[in-house]
Amino acid sequence: MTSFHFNDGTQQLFGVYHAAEPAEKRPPAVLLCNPFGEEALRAHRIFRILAERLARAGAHVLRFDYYGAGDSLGACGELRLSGMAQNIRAAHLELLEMSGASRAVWVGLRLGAAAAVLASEERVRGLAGLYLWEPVINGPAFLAEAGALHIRHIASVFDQPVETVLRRLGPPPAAPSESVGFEISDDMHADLNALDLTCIDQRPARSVKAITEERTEEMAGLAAHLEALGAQVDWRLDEEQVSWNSDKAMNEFIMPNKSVNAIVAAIGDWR
Amino acid sequence: MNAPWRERVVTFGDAGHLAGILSLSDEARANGAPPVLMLNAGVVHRVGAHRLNVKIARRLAAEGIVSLRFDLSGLGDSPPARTAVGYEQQSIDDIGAAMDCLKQEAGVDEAIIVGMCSGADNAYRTAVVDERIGGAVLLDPYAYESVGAKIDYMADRAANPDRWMQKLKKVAGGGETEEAALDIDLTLDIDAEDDERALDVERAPPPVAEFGGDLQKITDRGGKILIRYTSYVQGKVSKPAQFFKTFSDFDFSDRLSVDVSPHVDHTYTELTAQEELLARIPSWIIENWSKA
Repeated sequence: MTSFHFNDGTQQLFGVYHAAEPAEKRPPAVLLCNPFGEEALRAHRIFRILAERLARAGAHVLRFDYYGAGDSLGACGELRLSGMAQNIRAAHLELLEMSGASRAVWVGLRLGAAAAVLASEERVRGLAGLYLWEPVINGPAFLAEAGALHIRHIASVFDQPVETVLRRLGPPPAAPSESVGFEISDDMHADLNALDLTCIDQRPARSVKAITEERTEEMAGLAAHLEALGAQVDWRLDEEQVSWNSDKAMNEFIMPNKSVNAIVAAIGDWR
Repeated sequence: MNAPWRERVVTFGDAGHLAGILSLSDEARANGAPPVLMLNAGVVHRVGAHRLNVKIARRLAAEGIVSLRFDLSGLGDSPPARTAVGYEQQSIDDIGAAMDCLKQEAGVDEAIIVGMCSGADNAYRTAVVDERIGGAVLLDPYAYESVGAKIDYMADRAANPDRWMQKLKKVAGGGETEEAALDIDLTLDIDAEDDERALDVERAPPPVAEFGGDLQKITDRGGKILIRYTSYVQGKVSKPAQFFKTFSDFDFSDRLSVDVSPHVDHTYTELTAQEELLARIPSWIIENWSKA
């Protein structure tokens, strides 16, 4: 495991590279794409363990922080979806150069999955495919959810009725400026308001795999849209997925093993 | 990027297994303050709750103060240590290794340590035994019940009409649910109240006499301490005077300051609360060390 900084143009990004262990058949390299805000903190340990398991299975892996997130430079207010997508493309090139691999799969969690899809809309050399883990599909819905979550979180940490918090902060706006400790800038609002993965124009990759706890209508719509664009879609369900997305789960070192193992197996068999 | 500071990845410790980020100012130690060491808050990796360690590091760097944020053994990107000395001693050893790293990188044998929640416990324990720690910022360290705070807590709850309304609705049955009040389906599962209690499981406070004696030991040798309490300790401390009353048998010689911010939650979730902390830490450091 090697921690280092690398550049995306003028933006200095932080990355952790996990070199592959010897393997009979070398799978594609893997780029792990973080979710947004508090979810990225909760996912940190999960991604480290996923990276270690992938490396043991023979894959070179890079996990990294977007500009304005984690240990990368930039303030939280500078993080935006288009920037995340741009950073993914830069990290992809870094991974290929470091590993000597000719192709890589991008594994994106939540908003990281959406950013990976957007990043792949531009032709990317050496992109073997996408693995979407609980992807955020619709930006306005994500924003509304983030605003409501913030109110509920504040009510909970102060042990106050939601009504008391609503009186102090007002109802959650359609474009909240913060959610559970993280700023959401006007630029991020603009990017998210334009996000609807069921409306993308180009096939993001020939092979797209996904894993989700359930298959909503929206997810079925995305799968159908990707197939209509010519992608080969393999959508798995992990109905018993343990809930990793809470501070409580993080504090108790909860690992969504079924999903993690499914991703490791899929990368090993990637064609 | 034209910031007058830069960051560098460092690994250190006997086994080279501890991972950290050093924030270096181009005007290093311009104001004479020693470097700052930032610890994990609970199990959150070195960036800190809501990325606060990163924000503090950059605010300090802008003031010319070097800092190191790192992961203790078994947290974040630092694998578990190969020794078997127990969590508390391992944390003290890890922080000692971080002090060595700071000495090598910044050429200074003194540091100020910053810790939140379990990080405050680790900071306190290490500051007692490692005399190189000249200052400590303890965010929600151990707190002890006081009658005044208990009264404030009960009065605050009793004065909230929403709480009464909630109780009446429960008695009457039905009523608007939280989800309906927010007019949205909350699909993410979060129970922050449980979260913060979960963080507290291992935090059995030492007896008052022991904690007070240890804090005095630090101030007796010239160390300075800033304690900041939040709503997390409601019912225990609601005013600084209650803290000093609890520890009235001890003499901290004006080297210990206590802030109480009941409007702030344990992890400084709201951006306004973060801003308050981001302003307070550098100003406390500059105020105390520029005098030295």
